[in-house]
Amino acid sequence: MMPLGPKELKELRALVANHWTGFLAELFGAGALGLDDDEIGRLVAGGYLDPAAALAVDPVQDAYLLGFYRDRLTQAGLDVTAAPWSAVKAEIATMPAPLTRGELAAVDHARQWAGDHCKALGNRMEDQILSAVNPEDAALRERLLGVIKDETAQALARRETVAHLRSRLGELSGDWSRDWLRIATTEMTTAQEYGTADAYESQHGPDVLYSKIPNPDACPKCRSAYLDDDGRPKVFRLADLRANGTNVGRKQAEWLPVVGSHHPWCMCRGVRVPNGWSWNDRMELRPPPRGATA
Amino acid sequence: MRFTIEETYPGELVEREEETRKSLDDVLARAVAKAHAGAGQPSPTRDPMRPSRDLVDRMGALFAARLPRILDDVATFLQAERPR
Repeated sequence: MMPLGPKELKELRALVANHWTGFLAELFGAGALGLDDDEIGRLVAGGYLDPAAALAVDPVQDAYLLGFYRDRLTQAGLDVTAAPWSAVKAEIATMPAPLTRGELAAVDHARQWAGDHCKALGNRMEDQILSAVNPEDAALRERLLGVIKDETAQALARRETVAHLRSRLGELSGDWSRDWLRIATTEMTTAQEYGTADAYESQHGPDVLYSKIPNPDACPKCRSAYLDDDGRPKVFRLADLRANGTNVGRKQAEWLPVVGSHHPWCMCRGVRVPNGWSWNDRMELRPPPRGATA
Repeated sequence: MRFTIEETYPGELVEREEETRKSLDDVLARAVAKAHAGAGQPSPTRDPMRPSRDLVDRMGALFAARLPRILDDVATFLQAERPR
């Protein structure tokens, strides 16, 4: 390793950025990232973007479809709590109703949303790599000044610097993996929840009644947002949840009940509440009492 | 008269080179293992729906496949010979 100048540092940042952009384009599509043909060509030529890989996966659409068809899959006899994704996907392929233009637009929006949220991790990786390189680079300059005429010592100093850097990057990569898992979980849940909400809306209209069911170990924020004082799910109009938008960018105190993830890692699930039905203490939906009007 | 390290401690130089190489391999192996561990961990997702977990796991596996390429390219870039 040579001490790096501003030009090399810029190239290093671009290298990481190209990798990340190529990776996200493979996952969410070049359109979701707003890449033009020139940029796509440059990434493909540089080996950062594999068009075949881009065609092989579409995680956001898959998550949306899982949410969209969840009830119909259950009605078809598939246990969506236990079936592997491959079985679910095969069953969805047999479903007759294709997505409407509006639902396809929702998938596009979800891809773009996920792409935007994942960009931040790429920026963090760039910053942290540069932050790791800068002090090592400065230390290397110092060491090289001390052994300026000794080429072998210089070579050793350079190798040791690279070894230190790789060690540091190895440590950072554990954080990046955890961040990625958090982002993936959150974005997959959000896409899935919008799929579920869109399916209910297409069948029952925008005012369909809707609850969100937190996991048993859900955080207090979710329990407070989606359960009443007795621990039963609150019932919302779907249109009201949609109107609340997203909690991204809001302070915790300002979080509202929403269609998508309430917060990072959130896995609360939306379900339709038929008119007149209510939740009992065991978190089961019960029909209205006989004689009652819906 | 001044000797280079190679002339003075030839054995040590070889050993240190090997150590450096071994440590690079170890670091990379650990990074990949960590990424894979993140990809396959069911506990953080806690999602009762198996297909949802599968989708998240697949995202994790794709990241785990890309991360070593990024680290490798960064290391290659840092080690590249450049005109002085």
